[in-house]
Amino acid sequence: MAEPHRSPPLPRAAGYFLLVTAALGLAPFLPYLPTGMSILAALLLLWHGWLVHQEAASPSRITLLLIAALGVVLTLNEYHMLFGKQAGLSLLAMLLPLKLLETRRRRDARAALLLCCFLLSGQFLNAQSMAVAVCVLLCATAIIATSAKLEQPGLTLRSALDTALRLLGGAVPLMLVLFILFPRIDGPLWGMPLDAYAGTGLSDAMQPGSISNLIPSGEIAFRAEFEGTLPPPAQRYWRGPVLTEFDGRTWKIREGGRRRQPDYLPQGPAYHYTLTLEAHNRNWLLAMDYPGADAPDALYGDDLVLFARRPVRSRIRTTLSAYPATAVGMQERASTLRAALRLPPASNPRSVALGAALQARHADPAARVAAAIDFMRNAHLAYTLYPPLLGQDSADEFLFDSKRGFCEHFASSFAILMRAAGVPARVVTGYQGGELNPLDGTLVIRQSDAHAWTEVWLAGRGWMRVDPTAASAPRRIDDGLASALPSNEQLPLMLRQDVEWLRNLRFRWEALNNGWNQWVIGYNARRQLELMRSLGLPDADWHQLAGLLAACAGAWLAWLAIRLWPRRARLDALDRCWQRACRKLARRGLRRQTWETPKDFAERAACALPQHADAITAIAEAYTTLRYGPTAQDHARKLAALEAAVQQFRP
Amino acid sequence: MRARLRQRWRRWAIRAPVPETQPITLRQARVYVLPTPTGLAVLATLLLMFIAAINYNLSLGYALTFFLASIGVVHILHSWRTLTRLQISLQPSGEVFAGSMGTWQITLTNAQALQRPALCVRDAVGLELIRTDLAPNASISLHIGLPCPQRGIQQPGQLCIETRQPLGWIRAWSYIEPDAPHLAFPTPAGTQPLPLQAAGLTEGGTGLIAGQDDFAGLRGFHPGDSLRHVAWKQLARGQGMLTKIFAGSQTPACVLDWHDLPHAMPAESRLSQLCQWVLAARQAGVRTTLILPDGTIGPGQDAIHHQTCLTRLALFGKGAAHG
Repeated sequence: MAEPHRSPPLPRAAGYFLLVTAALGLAPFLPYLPTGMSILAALLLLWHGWLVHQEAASPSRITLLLIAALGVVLTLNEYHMLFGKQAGLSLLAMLLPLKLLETRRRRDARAALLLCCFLLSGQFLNAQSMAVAVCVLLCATAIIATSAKLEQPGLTLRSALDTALRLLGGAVPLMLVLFILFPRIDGPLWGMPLDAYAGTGLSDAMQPGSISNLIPSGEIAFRAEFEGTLPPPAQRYWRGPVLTEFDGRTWKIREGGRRRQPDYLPQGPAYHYTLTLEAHNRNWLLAMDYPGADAPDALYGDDLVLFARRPVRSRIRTTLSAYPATAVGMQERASTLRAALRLPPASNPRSVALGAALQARHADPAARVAAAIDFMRNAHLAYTLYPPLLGQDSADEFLFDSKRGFCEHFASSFAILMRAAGVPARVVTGYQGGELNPLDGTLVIRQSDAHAWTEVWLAGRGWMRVDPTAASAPRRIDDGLASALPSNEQLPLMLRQDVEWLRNLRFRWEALNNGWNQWVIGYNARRQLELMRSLGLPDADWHQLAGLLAACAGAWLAWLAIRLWPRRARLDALDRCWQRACRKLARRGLRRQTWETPKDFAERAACALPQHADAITAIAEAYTTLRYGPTAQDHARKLAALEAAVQQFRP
Repeated sequence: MRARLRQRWRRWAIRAPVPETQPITLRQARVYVLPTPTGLAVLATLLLMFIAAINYNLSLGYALTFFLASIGVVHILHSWRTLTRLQISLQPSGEVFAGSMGTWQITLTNAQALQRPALCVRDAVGLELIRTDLAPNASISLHIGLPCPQRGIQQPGQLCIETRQPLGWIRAWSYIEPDAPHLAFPTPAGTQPLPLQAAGLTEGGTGLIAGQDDFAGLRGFHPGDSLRHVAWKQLARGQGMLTKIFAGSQTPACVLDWHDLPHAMPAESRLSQLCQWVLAARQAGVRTTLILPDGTIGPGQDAIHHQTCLTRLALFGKGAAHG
């Protein structure tokens, strides 16, 4: 069917609809945009509103291009790029009001609505809270109502909303079924733009808070696909940058040499795996301790880190092996050991004093290590994502005062303690653990698995891994972060409230938020599997999920189709009575044709069935009189008589 | 070739013998649904949103995508039910001459208790003919014009009734090919004057009618009588519609003879000329006799006579099945 070549112009009422929809879609965005962009977008929207109100012509193309250029400059000024995630969202947020400004026809309006849909899903990159969900639902409803208005310009606001809500009522159950049962794929499908990882991913320096900042990110850092058995959780240490230089607050990398071959001899059981690493814009490969000599196209660093030749700027896949039982650093260079003992003067005096005491008490360095671990275990240190802010001597404050810290506090303090005790020590950052995806058997390591631990060097044994976090929160290593954190993690904030009911309310709110986070935002392949298990499908694969999905969606649609089936308007008693008589005749092969009046039909039927001619004629006559004649006083009685006649009529 | 294939497909899609007996009730099986270009654009957007949701692990992104997709699915049901069980019938209306637009009255009947908004009827090439809303238990009659290229029996041909309710993402449509024959008369054309036997009448009948002064009396008005002969004075006096009659010897008359036309003239041109004469005679109220190779009609003067003449001209050489 050929569409009319030019789309019809947009009526003013539809323009208002579009304006409100765009405002709803744009409003939650504004706080996340650079200030200049927020103001620009809001001004453009207001301008468009004014133009719609005045029914004025759209601004010229040149003006729009100039405004677009201004937006690009503002974005570049803020993000120094155009194709990143945030920069893209910022441009998109400007594009919507610009599109509105040049909207003259229905086609343009439809394109603007699609842009709005896309903007809504971009919204979730910023936040996925319940408030945002409500906002998005409102805007989606507005989009539907506006679409209806565009299709039928005659609709009033009320009827447009009515149409939208009617569609919504049918769609929401279907959406829930899809949300719960649609087989989930763990993203990402490919590497993201560079700034997708800005702030997520390890860096070459560590200060208090730099690891815990990574934890809220559920983004995948890399995946590992093992041949044969998986290593136990306690051996899943993925080595990132090793930090040796310490200036009292920040730990930094000590640049060393890189070779084609490792300077250790891989020993013990081997694990072979394929690493699929997401882009993180750094050289390190995050191999599991300790990489075998067969890594293709990789360099072996002095500090046991495996490097790629170029920064990993796109997703890469490489086959590696790991020999966790290897003895490493047996012949460590003296300079490296000296660096691993260096402490800045006059920092963390209490920790240094404790280290010195350990050194005095134990002659054997291994015994000092054990004593330090004992100290940390008995110091009742709490493992928490939200440690208090620490001052200049962070190790002192953590070990003796606040006693609350995240893995970087544990690792940093322990290394300082060891150096003070005369044992060479350094901090290793990387990832620990990982989550097995039961569908494809790969180990998925997310940013939230970021971890920091310690290595100490003992003569004759080389570098030994010591994870001080494990001493205080052993479940971190075995079961992952979530189980290691205390369940009342949010408490400190709330305890400041003295009002009981308010605190209760906040508890409820937090619980609700937690449920939302766990079951809506965190609903992924694993959650889906758990849910299926609790529903009695122990190992649901995607075939079963798809089957279940089709069954549920089909059942709902069938029910909806039956409800929406065009039904005849209910006939009144008289018509029902006449229809009944017609059905009785139809059973004898006498079907009333649509063009036949009751009288004509009765004549034909009477000819065909002469023995019933009287009854047929009487019924038709009574019907015609009651239907078309003047309203009689005894209508009810006559109708009853007709009903009785039809009842007794047996052709 | 493409047009033929399209016609074949539509014939098949109607799923009933064509032309169809009226009234046509759209069974659910002959209502088709497919996305419109807008719908395809929505689909593409949803696909993009879905990929974004996977890539960035946006759970609410999945939810929004699924929400809009579900709206689309429910949209299908709503569009489909807007057409299902709708009743349509067409009646030819007015006169039509070959090469001009014929008028049909289309009646849409909604015997169900549901709104049927934004119904649109298109012709075979997709041109929108009418657009209307239909309330529950209501019926609406509208006129549509369709081209009648040739004289003779003209069916309205294949029509398409569609709706894009409620959002314009999905189009539900059904093809119909109703049996509502219209009779197209030959195109009136030709340069020859009306061959009057009584003198004083100019071609086209714009002049005075001879013998108008020889008023013979009044009689009751019959439909088809020329308005020129209505006794307006009497009508104004409230005596009803009366027709003035004139002395018979003075009534102009003419013989419209096929054989009188030049030999070289092709048959269709002859029919066009004869048709124009008949129309001119009807307007002038001239008594006519039409002579065709297959018979003679008349003489006559009333509307029925003219109708018969035009019908014979329309069906000349096409078999007398509908004569």
